[in-house]
Amino acid sequence: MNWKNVMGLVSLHVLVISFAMMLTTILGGTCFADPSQSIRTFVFVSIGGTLAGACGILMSGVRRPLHFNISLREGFLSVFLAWCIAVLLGALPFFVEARFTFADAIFESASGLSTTGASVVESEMRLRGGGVLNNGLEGLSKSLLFWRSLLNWIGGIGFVSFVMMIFPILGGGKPLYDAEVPGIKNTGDQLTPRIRDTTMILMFFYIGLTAVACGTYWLFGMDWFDAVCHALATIATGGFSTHSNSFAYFENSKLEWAATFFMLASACNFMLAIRLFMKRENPFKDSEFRAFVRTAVACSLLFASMIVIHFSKLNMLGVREVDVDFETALRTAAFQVASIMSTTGFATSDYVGWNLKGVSMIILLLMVFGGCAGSTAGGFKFVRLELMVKQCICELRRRIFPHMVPDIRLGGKSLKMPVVAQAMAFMVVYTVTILASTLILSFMQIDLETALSASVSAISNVGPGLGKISPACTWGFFPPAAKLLLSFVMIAGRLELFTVFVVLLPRFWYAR
Amino acid sequence: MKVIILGAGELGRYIGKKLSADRKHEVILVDIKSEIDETIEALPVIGDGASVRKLKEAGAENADLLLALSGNEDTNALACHIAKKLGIKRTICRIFSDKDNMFPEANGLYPKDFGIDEVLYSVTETVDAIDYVLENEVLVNYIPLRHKDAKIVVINKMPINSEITGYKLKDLAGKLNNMRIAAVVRDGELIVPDGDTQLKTGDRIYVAGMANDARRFVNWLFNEGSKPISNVVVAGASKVSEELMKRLRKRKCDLKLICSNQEMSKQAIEVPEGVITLSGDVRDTEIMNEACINGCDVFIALDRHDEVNIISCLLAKKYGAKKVIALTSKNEYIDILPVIDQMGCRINSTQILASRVFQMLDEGPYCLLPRELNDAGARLGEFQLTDGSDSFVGKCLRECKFPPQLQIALIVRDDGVHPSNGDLELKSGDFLYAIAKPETIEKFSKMI
Repeated sequence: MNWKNVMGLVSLHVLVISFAMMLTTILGGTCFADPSQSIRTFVFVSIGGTLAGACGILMSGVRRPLHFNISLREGFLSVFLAWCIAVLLGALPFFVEARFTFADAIFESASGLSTTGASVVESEMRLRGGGVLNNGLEGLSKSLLFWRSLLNWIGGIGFVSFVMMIFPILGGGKPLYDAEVPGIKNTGDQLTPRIRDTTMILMFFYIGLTAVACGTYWLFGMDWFDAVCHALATIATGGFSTHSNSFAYFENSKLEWAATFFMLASACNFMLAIRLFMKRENPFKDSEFRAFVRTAVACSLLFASMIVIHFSKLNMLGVREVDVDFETALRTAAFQVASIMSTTGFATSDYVGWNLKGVSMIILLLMVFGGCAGSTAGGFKFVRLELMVKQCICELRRRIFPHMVPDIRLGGKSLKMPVVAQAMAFMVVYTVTILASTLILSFMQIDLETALSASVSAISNVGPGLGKISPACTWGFFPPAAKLLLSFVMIAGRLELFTVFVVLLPRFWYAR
Repeated sequence: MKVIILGAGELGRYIGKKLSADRKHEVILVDIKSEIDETIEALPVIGDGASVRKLKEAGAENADLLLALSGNEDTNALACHIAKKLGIKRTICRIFSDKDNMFPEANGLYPKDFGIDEVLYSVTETVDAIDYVLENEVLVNYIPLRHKDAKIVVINKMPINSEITGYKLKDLAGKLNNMRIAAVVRDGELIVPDGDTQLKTGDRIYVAGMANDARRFVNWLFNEGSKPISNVVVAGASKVSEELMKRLRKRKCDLKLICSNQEMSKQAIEVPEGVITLSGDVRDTEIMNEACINGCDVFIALDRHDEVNIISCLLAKKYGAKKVIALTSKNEYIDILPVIDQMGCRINSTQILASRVFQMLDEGPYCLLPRELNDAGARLGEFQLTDGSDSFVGKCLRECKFPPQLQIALIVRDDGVHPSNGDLELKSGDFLYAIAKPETIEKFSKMI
């Protein structure tokens, strides 16, 4: 393990988060017109972070050109460390500025960076030193609200892309990329020979999509601040809103449809979209995309028909009640489905409040499935699901043909068995993590439904869950230990478990 | 003609032998191995055929024809390119890839750019041949003729209760419209059919005509209900099996592939999606049963080793495969196993490719006749009418005086293939085909 390399890489990540803070400072000071004392922390942290990052890079002994000879272990470790430090740095504004308790600040920061979007901010929230936050989200300064969305947005595509964008001379970043970008390692996913160019294309797509979403939101009636914040949170599939009532606050059906579209779009494999634009390839040839779209449409229709059958009036978030017609039902259903499947976590209506058990179960399943590989969405990913189903069919067939050569295909191409085995192992680790987390939460006297859905929601980076963490509620009631545990689960889920757990492997620390 | 043959494998030797036996051609055989068959009257050149020095040594500068037939398509293409630069008149190149992969016209890649005049798509030709006999249970073989579309198809054993058994041929005229029955072998004896011949169960008959018509005719005759094959077992991993499986998958066939693990990784073929691959030795009973051989429509053995193919076909037939097809390349094996005739068809890739080459070269009927025709003492005669053959040119077939025991089956002319018909007027340049006893053929060729 070359510690200097690790320090250099972590420093790069610190620089990224410092630059993000600097951006917030500038915007907070100018556009949002926040009082100067409320952006104090951002100023200090950004300056301190930049200095620390610069020192770290200098001390790591890397000179121009910035080329790290990163081993796999250093890649995993530095990504893991960087995310931990980023969570700490990201928590500072909440901790210092808004006087959140330590666990709350960490939870909010981890929830933001992992694109979970679960919040502890509620009205009458207890602060450090016995104070109370009165108006919930609306009581926070604009800089802080923007910071939450920005955390979402950075966590969505991952630090490595930003690092490569800000320091284009960085070479040899493949281990970093592999450690941070979700999905299975499929040869078709790399667009260009250089990983940096691929990252750049992805990054431009990400920024472009965010800009389009922002423009659309503004056009459909949000003010600039809300449009920017919600666009950042949508495309990252994060789900931090600037209002307690999330999207229901706007009472605008066009906005809801637009958000539904953008949530689903950012849960699809970005490579497909890039191929569609660059090479005119039909995305429907991709089986994962097909499965994703079909599931989304089927669940939306199912939920919509259930709403129409069961309700004449539907409770939206807040205290608003609307008459149910088919458009409302479909819009509400599609919005919640898109929000859950893309693991965003926005909401317009409280599905737990519908009291339809079937819906709750399907929502839990959709949380587990997540979005598509190569997107900002979390969860198990449809492509893995497809692999597992195929593997199971293959194993069943093997009962009849004992000599059969297993042949698992993805997009017509045969997969090597290690890829399939990795997906299986992922499922095991995923399940075990959920169960362990549920178990620990249960010992903290949290009811099963809430504990299980909180674990699933955290590992899949969704946001809301079932039981006491329905879209209408916040995660504020969890005891501090539970918040820290869930923060860890969220980060582990965002880094697709292996990156985190490989660091815990004793072998990892052996020199040989 | 001075012919350089590159690659002294089965195909190269076979063509070399035929060409040199004619005494019209000088054959130079180039191969990297030093064991060139001594029985061929040819000048051996040992070395890499794709090198300038060796091609010069073989006399490429003033040769007429290069047949690049080695087992490596890169060597073949490169040799053609070099030879063309050296000044050879004509090149034929054996290619294993399919046309779309090697010379896609859409991308402006033409064989001419590589100094190749004609391409022998080895795999495609072989697969075509297998494909042709695949569909029908009784259709076992065909004799390729000079014209690409003209074929004499072989029907193995007339089934009981066929539509045409018991009738005299002249009563069947309406049903045979574009076909002619060229020969019948009954109990090992050749019967040259005329209007009064009756077909019996168990006859092996030879139907001449256009390839597609012939197959349609056979299907109409014997495939009642005409259920397309749906269940195929392929043995052996090779380019041929890959290509064949691709085609069969397109027709929604249920496919199983049996091949050993080593072969699989060595050949690096892409098995189409949906094929169940069983790893193991095809001669293994267990594997055969696992592949459900007793319910399958066709078993096709495409292993690299002829021996494996023959044995596995025998086994498959024993276990109940409806039809078995063995691919062989060694000429020696074509006729030694009478049992193979009992069990179904064997495709000889060497002969298929050789006859294609001869078609390209426009050389006489070099195709071997099926063994039982040979045993019955029959030969396939190909006769070209010239201006000098007064007693035939310009006359209708009915008016011509053919020797007894000679039945013209097909007439091939520039504008296509014509089945023999009493009213057809013969022209100079026509090719006539007939199956008859050697002495009859000799007699007739003197009359022309």
